[in-house]
Amino acid sequence: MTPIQIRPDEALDELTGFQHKLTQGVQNLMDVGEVSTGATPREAIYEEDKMVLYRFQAPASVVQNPVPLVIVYALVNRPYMADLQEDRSMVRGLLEAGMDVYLVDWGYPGRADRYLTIDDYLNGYLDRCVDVIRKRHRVDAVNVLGICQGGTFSLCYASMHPDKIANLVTMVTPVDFQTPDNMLSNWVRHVDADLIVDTLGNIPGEMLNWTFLNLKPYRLMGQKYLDMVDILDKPEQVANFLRMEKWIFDSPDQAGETYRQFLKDFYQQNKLVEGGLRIGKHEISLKNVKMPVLNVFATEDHLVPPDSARALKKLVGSKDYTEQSFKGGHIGIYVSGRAQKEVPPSIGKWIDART
Amino acid sequence: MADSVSTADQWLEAQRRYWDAWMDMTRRGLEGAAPGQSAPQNPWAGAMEQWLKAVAPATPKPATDLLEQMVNVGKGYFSMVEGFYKEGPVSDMPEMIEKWTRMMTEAFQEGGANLNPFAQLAARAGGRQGTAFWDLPFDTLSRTLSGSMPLPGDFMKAFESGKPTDLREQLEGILSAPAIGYGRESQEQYQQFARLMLDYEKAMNEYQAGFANLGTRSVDAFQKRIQAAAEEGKTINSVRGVFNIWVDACEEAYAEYAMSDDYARRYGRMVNSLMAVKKQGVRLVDEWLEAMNIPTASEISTLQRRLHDTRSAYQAVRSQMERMQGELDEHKGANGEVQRLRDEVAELRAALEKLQAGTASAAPAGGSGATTDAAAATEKPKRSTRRTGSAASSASGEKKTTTARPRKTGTTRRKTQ
Repeated sequence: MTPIQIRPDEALDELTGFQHKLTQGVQNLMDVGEVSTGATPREAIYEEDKMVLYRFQAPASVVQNPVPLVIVYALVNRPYMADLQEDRSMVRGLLEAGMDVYLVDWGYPGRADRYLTIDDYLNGYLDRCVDVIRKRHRVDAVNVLGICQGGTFSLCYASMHPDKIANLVTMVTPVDFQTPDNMLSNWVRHVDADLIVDTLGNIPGEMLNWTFLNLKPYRLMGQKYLDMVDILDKPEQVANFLRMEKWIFDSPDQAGETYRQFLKDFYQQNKLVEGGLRIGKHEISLKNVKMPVLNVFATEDHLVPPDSARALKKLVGSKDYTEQSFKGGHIGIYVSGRAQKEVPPSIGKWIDART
Repeated sequence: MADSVSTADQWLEAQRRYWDAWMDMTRRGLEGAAPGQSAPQNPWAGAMEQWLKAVAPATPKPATDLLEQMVNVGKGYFSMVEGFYKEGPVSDMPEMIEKWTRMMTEAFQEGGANLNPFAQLAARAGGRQGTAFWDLPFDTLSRTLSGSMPLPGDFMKAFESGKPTDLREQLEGILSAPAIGYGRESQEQYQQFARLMLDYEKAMNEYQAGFANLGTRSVDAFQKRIQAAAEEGKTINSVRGVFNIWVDACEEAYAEYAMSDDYARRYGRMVNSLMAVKKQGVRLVDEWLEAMNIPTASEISTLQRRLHDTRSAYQAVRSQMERMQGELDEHKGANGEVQRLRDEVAELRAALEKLQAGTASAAPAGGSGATTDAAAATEKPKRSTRRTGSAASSASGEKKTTTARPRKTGTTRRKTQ
């Protein structure tokens, strides 16, 4: 028997069903209006240049951990992914788990910011944010949750300022940038980072977008839109899809000098693993990261392969190291229904046990 | 499979409904079409196109983009179903695989701009496959430069695939001619720019050529997946199911190639050569801007760097000031301690003076009240004797107390340090 068993009438039904959903669903598309993001009330605590430090409003009924938690997001894409909508919000989950949540929003670098370095971001903006929070809460050290590239930055920061971090959580964080399954790493092997930055100045967000989409082009630029027709008759799901679509294409430009160092030192020379990484006046060694570390990674992550994240285990200086795997992808770990139930509560428990 | 009679009936019924549905869709599309516009040639895909044109004007911009994406991908999906109808039913495994592979390949190659994102990108950019993004800055630059350079901005079109290559050779010959005369340096810059453009074109062609076998590899992967499904006894009951397997096969073939050394080298050359073109282009534009007394990119870059350095220096000074302010605050705290000590000394002195006065006046009479005061006063000096030193027992306590003060303050300061 052949595996493809399609009756002609069923095929026609499939086609007319598709047509019906598409034509009827247009009204839902038109009715969606402005796509909103960010669900949890928040307050700007500290601002500097384009960076804003937010504090999220915790539910009154929850007993809060006395040590605040700072979310450090990547420079790529926008941090509202962590608080996309009411029922898909990692921030909300963390608040409900008793965390006092702050978030560093790096903003959109303009052309005048092209000389911002990783040193400026970490020993400048981030360090001042941490100091502001320490002072507000009268604590010596804060908890840090670094996401994706923000996780890599958090590790570097923890290496430079270990006394300011009580507990460190890294989420889908690349550590070993040259695992055999890292497609991005393969692509940039022969790219001249200096030439790119000297030529373009800041790196356009659009360029990064195309790069990410081309990791899985048939799915992300084709199949996804076919699948979307299936949900076109459900206004709520259409709104969710559009919200995610907005986030995917909302890519800030990258400050040129930061991109240069990130591409060369992390991707091309893998210095976080091989050693020799310097940020400002500091030499970075993960052996300095001695506070408790929780490393959360996604088993089906196409951007940060699990092995890239798991490499932290052998490199970190902490004696209290925990790994947590999540069965899902790079985005699903923030927004999927299962992630909402699993990830923030487990982070909260882990931190509470160490506070 | 059903018997041949019922299969034939199903097929006929399905065909009738197929055409009814197509007519319905075409009618809907034409309701919004321009007068005189005829029905499209490719039934479903064409009807979808027509329908999109009809609804697009009434749809907000973001929704139109999304709709266009869905219709574009949907057209490829429709092409598959149309292929399914054209081919008719099969029951034999090799024939079935061959049939679906042919349908996929046709959909991929013909209507395939919608199944193959690279073809789709190419269609949008009006040029090469899979390189639309990389072409965009190039196009922008070409337009910018075309007004200020001897070569037209779009002259690279002469080198696209299928065009005679001897033009390239001729141009390379011209570019290798030595520059002469008053504008020699400028001429060299333009020659360099043109050479870099040729390098880029070559690198881009090589990059594209790398994708040449991707279609074949995708078909191989698709066949393997269908074969595996057959061996595992799985059935696929929908065109969408086949489409999804096709997408998985394409991703597999693509990922395999994209992870290769060959791809990394071609990609690197393509990106680097484009950046070299753009950098040289900026240099040329800068020359032009400088001649017009307009700030150049390199001048602005210098200003940006200086601004950044100044801000870094400012932040360093600010941080240092904040540290010093903190230390000052601590010293203020120390000063408060000194003040408290001074107050205590003053109290002691007052008590001592009172005691001395009381002793002098009470000595002959010896009243009980004076004795109480004296007893109270002597308690404090006892506690504070070490602090005030000889002040308590000296008649000239003012001076001695004064000399004692710096010692106390100094000790406090060191402690805080």
